[in-house]
Amino acid sequence: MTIILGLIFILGLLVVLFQKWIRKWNIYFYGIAVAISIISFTQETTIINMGYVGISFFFLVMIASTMEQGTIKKKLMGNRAELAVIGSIFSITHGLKYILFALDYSFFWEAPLYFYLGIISVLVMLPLAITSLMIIRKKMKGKAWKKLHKLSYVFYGLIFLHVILIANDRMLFYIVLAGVYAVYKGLTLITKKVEVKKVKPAV
Amino acid sequence: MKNILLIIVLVMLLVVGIMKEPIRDTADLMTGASTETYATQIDLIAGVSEGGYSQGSYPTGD
Repeated sequence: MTIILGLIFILGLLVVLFQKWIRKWNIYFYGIAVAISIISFTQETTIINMGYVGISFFFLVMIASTMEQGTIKKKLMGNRAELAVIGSIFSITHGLKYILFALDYSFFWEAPLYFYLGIISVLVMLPLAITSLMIIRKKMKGKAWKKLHKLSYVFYGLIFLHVILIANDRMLFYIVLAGVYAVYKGLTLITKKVEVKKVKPAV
Repeated sequence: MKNILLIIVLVMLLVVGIMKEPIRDTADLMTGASTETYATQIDLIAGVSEGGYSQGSYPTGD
């Protein structure tokens, strides 16, 4: 809880302060993330292997679009792709680590439901992460990209289910986080509908 | 208003987190040590941990 929230605040602050540089040198940040992930993968217990870092990045990605217009939203949205890609890199490390652990200790086919939900969420995340890279995104048509990225909501739902179903001491915290996102997203959708109704002339 | 509310909720959660999770355990996890606070359920399923500690590194009570 402390780690995830601490990371959310630190990452949020870094994005607000250095958004332009993160966007400009994003390829180097991806490289650093890959290097850190490889090192983490060789260790046993790290906050990356346990998934805390990945989920922190993704919470910022999720919540960015639901915020009110302002500097913070502008900066977060400006680095949303970078946050998503780096979060994916760390999440892949987390996923791979646990898959290998399950295979090593021969419980891959007897794992709890949240384990399989985790694997499915990584599989759903992969095309989203790849198409978040500018090189790939430029080759796609806007409509097709938007359609594919509707899968993000499936991914977010799977992530929250995955962490909630672990049913540990932090379960309530994850439910609150999921609730905050759901409420904010709901408010955003309602606000958009109201604005669309205002713009459309009355028949 | 929405943004301020969000920040307030997250700060409150952070404060609750700091109160519930010992800073020592958080610091231990950052350095790579297993702790009871951050015990992974899957370790228990695999039978490789007892009470959040890896086999071979049980707390000595110091």
